[in-house]
Amino acid sequence: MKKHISSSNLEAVLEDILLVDSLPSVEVYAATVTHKKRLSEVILRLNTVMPVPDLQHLKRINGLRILLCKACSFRTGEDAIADLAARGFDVTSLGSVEKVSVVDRLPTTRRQFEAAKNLWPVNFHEDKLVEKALSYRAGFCEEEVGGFEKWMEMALEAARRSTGYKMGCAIVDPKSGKVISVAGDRRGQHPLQHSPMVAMDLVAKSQGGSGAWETDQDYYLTGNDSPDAYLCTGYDAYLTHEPCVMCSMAFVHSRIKRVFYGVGSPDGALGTLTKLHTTPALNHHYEVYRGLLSDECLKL
Amino acid sequence: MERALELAERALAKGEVPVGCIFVRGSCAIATGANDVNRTKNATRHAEMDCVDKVLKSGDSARDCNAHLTVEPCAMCAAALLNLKVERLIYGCPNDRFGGCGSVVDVAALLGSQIPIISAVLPDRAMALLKQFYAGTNPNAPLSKVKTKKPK
Repeated sequence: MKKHISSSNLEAVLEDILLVDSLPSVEVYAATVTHKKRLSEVILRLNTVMPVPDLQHLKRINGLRILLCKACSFRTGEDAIADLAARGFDVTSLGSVEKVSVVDRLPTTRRQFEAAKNLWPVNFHEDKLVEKALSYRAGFCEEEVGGFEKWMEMALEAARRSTGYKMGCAIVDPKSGKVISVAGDRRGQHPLQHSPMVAMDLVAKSQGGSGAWETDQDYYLTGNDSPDAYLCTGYDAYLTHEPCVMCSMAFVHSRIKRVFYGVGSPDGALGTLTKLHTTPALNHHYEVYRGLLSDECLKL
Repeated sequence: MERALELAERALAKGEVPVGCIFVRGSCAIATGANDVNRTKNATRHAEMDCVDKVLKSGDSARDCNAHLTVEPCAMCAAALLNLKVERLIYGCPNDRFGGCGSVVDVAALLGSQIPIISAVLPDRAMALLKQFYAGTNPNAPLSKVKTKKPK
C-alpha cells in the first residue's frame, strides 16, 4: 500500500511571548564579593537587607558577582553601596560595582532560556508541551498529521458543497474517532451561519438539544447523548479557514479542545487580528494549529 | 432598557443566565431575545443571538437598530452585532468574564468598527441579577476534573 505523505505544514498558533527568541532586558547593579568564603553569608544578609521581589527569576549570584538591585533604583553603583551601608550591611565584603543587563522575566521557552543565561544565571522550568508545540510540525508525527488531514477532508467537502462562502467545518471526537458534525457556510441564508456556528449547533442536536437552526443538508451524529457529552468538551474542530471573532469566541463558550485550520482569514481571530485563544481572562482555553491541507483550502 | 431588564428577570426565574436584549428601531421595539443555552444545548445561544434570529425570521435585519442589552455582550455577540451593522450598541453592566466591549476583548478595535457603544445604562439592576444567578453554580456544567497544563 502506498504510504500517505503529508503535505501539511502544520504549526501551533501560540501566544506571542512564546515566539520571542530573546526576552526584554533590564539593567541591574552587580558587585564582586571580595572573599569567596563569605559568599553564602553575604547572600543571606543581602536577601534580608535588599530583597529583589521583581527579580525573583534570577539567581542572586553569578560566579563571584552578586546582584544588588535594579539599576533604576539608584543613580550610581556607589549610591547603591551607600544605601546598603546605611541599612547596616557590611560593604567591606563587596568590591567594584558594575551595571549588568539581565532578562526582565522568567523564560518561557528553552530558546529564551539559552539566550537569557548568557547574560546572568536565571531560573527556568521547561514546559514539555510548549517545547513540543514549538518544534517541527508542532511536534506531531507523520501519522498523526495524516489523521488530521482525513478529518480536514470532511471540512473541505462541506466547503465545496456549501451554499454560502466555500468554507467548511467538521467537529470530531478524537477519543472515539467519530465525526460529531459537519457543516458548510450558509451565509446566503443567514448572516451568522458561518460553518463553525452551524457545526456547533449540530453538536447540540447530536446531544439531544433542540439546537437553534434548521439546517437540513449538513451532518450530525445521532445518539451522541451520553451523560459525559457536554457541549464540545474534548472535541476537535477542523476548519478550512481561520475563524472570525464571533466563531472563535463561540468555540470558547462551547469548550472545544483543539482547532485546526487550513488558511488564515483577513478577519480571523486565531492568529490574524488577534489570538483570542490566548486571552488569559477567558474561562476556557483551546489549542490552535494552522496550515493543515492549506493548499487544498486555498483552492476553494 | 427597563424592558430588557424585565426579560433578564424572566430568564433568571427560568434558571437561564439573566441577560435581556431588545432591538429598537426609532421608537419601535422590533424583537426581544433571551438566553436559550439549556434548552438548545448550544452554548452560543446568548440573548443577542436569539434576538438576531427573531429579527431575521420576521424578514427584517438588525441594521439601523439600537441593540439594548442589560450586560456587556461577549466577544462573540459583540462581533455579531457590529458585523450586522446595528446603529448603536447600548448596555448596562460590564461583563468581566467574557466582555467584548473592552472588559476582556475590545472587538470594536479589532474590527475597526465606528459603531457607537454606550455603556453603564442602569448597570446596578443588571449586575444585581447576575450576582443572584452566579451565587448558585451552573447546574448544567459537569464537575470540573483535574486540570492539566496545556500550551496556549
